[in-house]
Amino acid sequence: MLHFASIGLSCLLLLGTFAAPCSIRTTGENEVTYSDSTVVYDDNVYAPLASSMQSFSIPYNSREFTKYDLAIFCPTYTFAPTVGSCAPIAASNIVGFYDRYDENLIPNHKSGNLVGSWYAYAIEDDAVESVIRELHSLMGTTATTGTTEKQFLDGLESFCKSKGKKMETYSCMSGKSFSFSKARSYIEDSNMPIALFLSGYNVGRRLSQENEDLLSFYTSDANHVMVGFGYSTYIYQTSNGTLTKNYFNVASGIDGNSSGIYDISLSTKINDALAIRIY
Amino acid sequence: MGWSLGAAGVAVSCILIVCIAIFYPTQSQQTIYWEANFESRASTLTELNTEVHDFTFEIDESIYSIRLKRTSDSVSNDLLYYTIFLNSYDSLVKMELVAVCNPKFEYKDFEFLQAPTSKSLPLYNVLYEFETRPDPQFDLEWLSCTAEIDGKQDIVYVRKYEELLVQPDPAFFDIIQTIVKPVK
Repeated sequence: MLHFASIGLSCLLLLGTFAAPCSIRTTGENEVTYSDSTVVYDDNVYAPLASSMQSFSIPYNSREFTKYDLAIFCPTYTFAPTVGSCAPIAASNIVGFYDRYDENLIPNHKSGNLVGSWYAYAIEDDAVESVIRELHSLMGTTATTGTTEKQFLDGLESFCKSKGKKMETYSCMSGKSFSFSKARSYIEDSNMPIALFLSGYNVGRRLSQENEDLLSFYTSDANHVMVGFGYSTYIYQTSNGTLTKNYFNVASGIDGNSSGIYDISLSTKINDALAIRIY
Repeated sequence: MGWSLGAAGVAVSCILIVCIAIFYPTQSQQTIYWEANFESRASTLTELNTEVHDFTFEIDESIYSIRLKRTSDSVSNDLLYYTIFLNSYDSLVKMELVAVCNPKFEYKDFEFLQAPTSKSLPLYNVLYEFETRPDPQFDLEWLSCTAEIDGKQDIVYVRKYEELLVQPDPAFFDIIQTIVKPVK
């Protein structure tokens, strides 16, 4: 009896660890503001942040990979009402994802269509732009200050409430460290996109050659929010041993780089990552 | 003393002239536009075709859903580039084109990952790189492509082209020529 009780308690603890919705939203003294701007507005003084293209190759003897995407084409909206609008754009991509299940989330917009048994999301239109403007207003985003994580969550929740919906978030962190396995699980097992709150980010692409992968990334030092709609893990056997690379397949919110892979270990720090459910 | 001062003056003048001769042409051709001043707004096919010099874009809206954005510099009001997003309604093709139509602007967010292949098409020459990629999750095969089409003043970058391969030969070259055409 005690044995079953302890198993039950363990299960509850595990659920608590992996599946309890987050509820605490405090504003810390040093809270990060996300604006994806290459410019920091500090007393109206421009201080350009670094952004660049980085290209490299991974030669290998053999390679295995696993991947999972929530759709064959995911939402990749990029409309920016002002500079520093990455947070409302990211939120709109999440809303766009759930619009498939309730077309009222984005009125006058067809979310996409089935290709065989898989789903392909439609591209941005006027209705999506209108939702981005609404989220921008609800989050209190400004060109000079961007958006805090709390503003992002409060604004998105207000939007959901206005549509008669609820929102839950699930942490992909283990303490202060990011857990890729948790994020993978939320994507693959729970069909949830991941909001990524980043200090420094990258968006890139990979070109596979025989025994060599070529990669190119746009990297920026800016604070940025973007959305993971899938993941891929590559395990390379190289002349120097085993190399594992983990990527999210992201909607970056950036014009010209609207989708791509995000290398979680390249010039980036994941401040927080939340799986988000709208229902 | 007077002779050496004169020679030094001549030398300095020569160096200055050489420097101006070397750097002036390149400096004058490229203008530095700060990314922070870029602003985008929705646009139309008509506006795009009015402002692009070397190409005409013809997009069959019964085949593709289309979204156009015009990006300019908010300080100078100079047009920088257009971004054209296209999705075929059957979801077999998705692409993102960038038409740079300001010769003073250097578009930096495009590069090939290897030396591109050059192909002469009936309408123009295209530089490209291809990858066919199996997708075990969806049990499909994708063609990914990036390409560049150079005009006299304009450059069209195919930043992203994804085609769900339902036939052995990719449709990329046919499709791009139906959309991007040289001005007659």
